[in-house]
Amino acid sequence: MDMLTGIELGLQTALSWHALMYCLIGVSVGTFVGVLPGIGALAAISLALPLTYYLDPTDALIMLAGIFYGAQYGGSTASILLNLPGTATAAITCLDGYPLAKQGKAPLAIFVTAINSFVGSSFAIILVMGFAPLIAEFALQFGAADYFAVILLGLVAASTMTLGSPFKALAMVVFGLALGMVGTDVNTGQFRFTFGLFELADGFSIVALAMGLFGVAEIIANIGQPAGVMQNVGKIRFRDMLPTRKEWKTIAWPTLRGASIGSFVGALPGTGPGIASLMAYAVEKRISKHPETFGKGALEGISAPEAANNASVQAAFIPTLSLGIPGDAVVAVLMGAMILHGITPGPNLINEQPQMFWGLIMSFWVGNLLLLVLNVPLIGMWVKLLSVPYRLLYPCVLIFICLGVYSANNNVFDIFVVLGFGILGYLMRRAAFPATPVLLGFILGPLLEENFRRAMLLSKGNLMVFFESPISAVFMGLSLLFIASVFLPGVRARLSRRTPKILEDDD
Amino acid sequence: MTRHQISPYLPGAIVVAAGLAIAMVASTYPLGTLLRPGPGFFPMVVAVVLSVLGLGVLGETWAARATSSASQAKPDETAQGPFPWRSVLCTCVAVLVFALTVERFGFVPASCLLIAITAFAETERSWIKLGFVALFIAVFGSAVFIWGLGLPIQAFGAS
Repeated sequence: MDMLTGIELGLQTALSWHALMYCLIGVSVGTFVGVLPGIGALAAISLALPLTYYLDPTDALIMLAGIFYGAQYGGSTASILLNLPGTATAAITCLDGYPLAKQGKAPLAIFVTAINSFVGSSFAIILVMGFAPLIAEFALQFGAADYFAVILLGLVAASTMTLGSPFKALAMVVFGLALGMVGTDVNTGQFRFTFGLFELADGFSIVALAMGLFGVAEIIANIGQPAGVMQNVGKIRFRDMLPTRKEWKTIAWPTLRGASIGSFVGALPGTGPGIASLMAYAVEKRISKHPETFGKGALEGISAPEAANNASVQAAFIPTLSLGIPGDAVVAVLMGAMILHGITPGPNLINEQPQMFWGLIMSFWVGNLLLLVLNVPLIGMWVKLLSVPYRLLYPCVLIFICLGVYSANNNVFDIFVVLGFGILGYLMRRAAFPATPVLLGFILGPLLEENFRRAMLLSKGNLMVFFESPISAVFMGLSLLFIASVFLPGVRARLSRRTPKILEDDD
Repeated sequence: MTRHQISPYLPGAIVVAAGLAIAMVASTYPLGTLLRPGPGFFPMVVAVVLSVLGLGVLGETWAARATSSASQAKPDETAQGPFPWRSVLCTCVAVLVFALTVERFGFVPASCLLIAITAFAETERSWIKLGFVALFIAVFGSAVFIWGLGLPIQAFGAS
């Protein structure tokens, strides 16, 4: 199918009244959770996931994806006004956004981040439209060994391209693989790691795992903590929002550079928006003629990272939709949602479900336009939301989490599981172990094992098969490069020196 | 060795221990051969890799402390503040109580208990505002989850 027919089909899907409605719900919920510090997109998506069991899969995906990219828009608002990132990926926006708000330029900063988010997203959506079908077509030739290699690359990239310790991240990805093994072995029917618990025969539920590691852990970390001090902005007038001609010129190139960096990082399997915005910020600071203004309210310092994190969020759909390998933890949960709806993401998706693929992509355009409206003319509404004592929300979120996991199997057992993972997630966070790789390992683990076993059968137990097929050899080589980079102290030292403390958190 | 000297090594040690524990359980499953890997093969590889990475974490902690001990010997715990026992305990108890009561006494009583218990995690609380939260949850939650999605629980009473 060529692109124009695809676009036409996608528009038909995305512009149907129910798709529009679910898209609007998704992006509104996304902005809502993005604005509120302490509740991230991941918790929101896992919460909404059980609600979508009853929806048409395409509508469900449109809504869940809307929450994901909508949160990236909302996240910057709290960064600017409270100096508290609404989402971890907006942490870098605090550095220059909060100083701008202190100078009374909060409306300008909010406008610039909204516009840049839109530009970054648009840039990446075009790339998704162009590249996802090409990559999928290429991936149709993949054998089991090639799949094993590309999944391995995703896992290695996710854990070595992190801001903290690579050993900790790698350990967490392997821990995720271990969690993924719990349940019935597909090849032999053997129960593994179920410890006699009948409830574990199907393995851990992805909803319980994600909500525990991210939702409950986040609540434990935030409950009982003092609230941030909001920068008083008064009434936000549209007049104050518009940049001057000179300011437009300042942000133009940083935005495009941010969008390119974000798209590249996002398209790599396993690497997410957090690292994209950090890289974009570092690049801007390095090439700027006035690096001393960074951290004191430089417009470049908010425009590049905001363009980058939105671009990376959209670009993360390239590996997910074309290879079935999630580009980031949130997309991993989205992929879990597709599997629950009986759709296997992978190279066949675009041919077998063109209406879903193109519908989802065209809904990105619709959603981003809606977000522009939600975040520019209606911004006052969200700012008011920040002055509501949002800690009253924690018990509500906790109840929704409990009900959400309960609804998956109508079993109280999952509530205990979610609590267990919540405590574990909180302890991991304190010890600076990232939670994202656990989720990626959990989702990709079964695929990794299955393709490994298949490759072994096909090659009669020859381990060299992973280096004999050219496709797999390239991926294995890249994985080795990533691992080698861990042991090149120069690269890491430089990266970690630039890392502000606030970014230690997870996506 | 004092507690401050041991505790930084705890995370790495736990990872190593977890790897060894997984290996022990995995060894009870058929390993199979390379030609036909059994259900224990992949878990065994994962367990060994996990233990090795745990050693890596330990080594990294050791290296970091060796370089920083000369200039500033600061235990990690003070950097993050004391462990928030109150938040952790309140959240745990609240969720456990919810799980144990929701099927026996109904969704609304379970939610009220959860809201009341989490309130003790905060340093100050307003029961009036929390009352509104409970009312909202009772109405909205029942409407969406019980009538809308048809969860097999009751608003009040055993299911």
